[in-house]
Amino acid sequence: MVPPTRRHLLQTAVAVTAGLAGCGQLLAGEESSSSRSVSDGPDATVSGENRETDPDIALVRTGGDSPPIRMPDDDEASTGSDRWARQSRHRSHVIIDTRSRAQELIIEDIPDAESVSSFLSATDFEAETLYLETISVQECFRLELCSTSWSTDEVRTDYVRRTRPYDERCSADAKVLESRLIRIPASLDADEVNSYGSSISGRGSCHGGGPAGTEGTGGGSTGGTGNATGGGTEQ
Amino acid sequence: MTDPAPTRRGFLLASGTVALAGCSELDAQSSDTGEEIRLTQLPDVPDPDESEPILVDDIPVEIEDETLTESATRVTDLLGTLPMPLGPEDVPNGHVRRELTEAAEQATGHLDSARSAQTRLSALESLRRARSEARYAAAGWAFVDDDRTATELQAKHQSTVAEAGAFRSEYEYLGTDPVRAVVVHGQLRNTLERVSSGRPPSSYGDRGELLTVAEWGDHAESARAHLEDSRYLYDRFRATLPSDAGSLEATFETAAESLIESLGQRRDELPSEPEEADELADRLRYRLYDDAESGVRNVDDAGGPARAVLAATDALVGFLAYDRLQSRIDDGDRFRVETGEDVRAMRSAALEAIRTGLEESSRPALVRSVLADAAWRVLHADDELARHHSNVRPRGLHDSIRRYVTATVRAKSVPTACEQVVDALE
Repeated sequence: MVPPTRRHLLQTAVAVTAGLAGCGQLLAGEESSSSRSVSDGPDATVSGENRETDPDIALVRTGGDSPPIRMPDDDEASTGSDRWARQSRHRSHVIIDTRSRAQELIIEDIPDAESVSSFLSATDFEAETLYLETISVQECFRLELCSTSWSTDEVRTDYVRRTRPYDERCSADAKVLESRLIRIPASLDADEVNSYGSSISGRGSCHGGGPAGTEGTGGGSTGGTGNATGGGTEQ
Repeated sequence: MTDPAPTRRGFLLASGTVALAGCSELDAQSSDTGEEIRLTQLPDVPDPDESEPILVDDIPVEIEDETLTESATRVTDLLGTLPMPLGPEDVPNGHVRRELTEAAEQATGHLDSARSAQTRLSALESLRRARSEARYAAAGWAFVDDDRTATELQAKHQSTVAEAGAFRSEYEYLGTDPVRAVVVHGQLRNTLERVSSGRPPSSYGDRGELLTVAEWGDHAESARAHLEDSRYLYDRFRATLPSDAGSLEATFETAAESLIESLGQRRDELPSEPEEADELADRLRYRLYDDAESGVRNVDDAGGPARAVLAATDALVGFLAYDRLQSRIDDGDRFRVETGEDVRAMRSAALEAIRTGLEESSRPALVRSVLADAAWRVLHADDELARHHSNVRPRGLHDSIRRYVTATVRAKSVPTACEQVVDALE
């Protein structure tokens, strides 16, 4: 029998990946969510909606095993080998609600590390909170943050996955980690926030269908001091 | 027709996979208390990668070698533009490179399928798929090597869509033998309608600029191939007709109306919709009831009188198959299997019904596509069986059995449906 075609596989990807719900790994082409407590479904916003569609961010992307931006206590988890540690390497989230906590952050030694420091310095922790989220993504793709929404006890992010330009060297089998500092224009208490959720859509555009496949560098999540470094696992 | 080569079970036995006997079967459920059926007793089905249906579709038009050769040459020409194997220096993005490479491999696979096809029609279909995949790869590479744009390919696609529209507007349902003509025109129009869509390719998500061009290349090539094949079959068919052959459109319309009325009556006579229950007999009844009902809708939506007659043929088979299933249930058949021999018997019955369905139909060409569909059901059932690598409880075989039984009752209903449609056309 003739094997299924590439596009056939793509068309059935949603159905197939639906069966993986609960496996704790984000997959492109689907909506997925995870949370420590109960989280709304895909594309949902948190109750008592506060939503920012173009939040200021700082983005660092690397091919290492550890999140390029992380808290010191993440180091232990990221070097461990148990299931929790492995999952932590695929995705993690931290609320940073004070300047002292921000100063604890470990930032990978990359050329743009200074701009991340500037982003931290420019944050007013009296009125703003930083949400650090790290997600694993295939090297030949990148995530674009569409929006973030929050309440006093919950934070949620929504992304789309985009193919990187054809002339950027990457390996189809490699994965990289994208760490984002997202500036939330509200003062949240890290001890109060107990639920996190995120979704990744493969539909290509933050705002509905959009022209599938238009390659570009613009987008809602590259504002602020956002920057992206190439992955470190190129071949 | 030949039986598919039995290879997979033998391979499993040779490789010692049966040593896994006793492991929990993935389809087995705790509520299933039936005795396990030994893997070695199950039918020896072909490996899914190598399986072929015992019967494939055909068209009563002689397709020439030159036409198939031209399509194959088009494929090799397109593939010849690629600097294979593609490397990081050609397309640095590994994902994009893999997409192009896989498309080229798919094209080669379809080319091989065409060479070993059971019928010239299926060879033509495989070559269309090969052309699409080859163009995908070639257009993607041309984006790099020749600044190919999606706009150029969109224009080519639009041009093909316009040509297809002109072809449809001048189309004549010519023929002398209504049965042969309805098969040719129905299949031909099915092919032509694949060109009609002016919609963009159905790519999923953000594919990037290069792969968008590749998708449009595929889309443009697919439309062009469908149009070329439609025109070719139309011309070839016309060439076999006497010069005074007239239009059979009115004949097809009358037949379609008569069949639609008959189907409507049958639908009205159906009992209330059965509930989908756990027992296999109930699931079968539910599925076949649904098939019969949806078959009527397919006739309504067929688009064109020849396609409507073919859709009505399929719908009639659906109703007759439902009746046949109900009779078996009324006679106490619950389609239970307890041994591998039971499964083998069901599979053999399906294959035999397909063979005899063709032999016993007064006009085999009219019902060949219905029987080809039954053959695909058997193939899918075989593929389900091939997933089992250890002993299995009966419930784990339900999907396969459902498909074998459905193929059987549908194939056995074909000769009667054939008679009714022939009567309507004459």
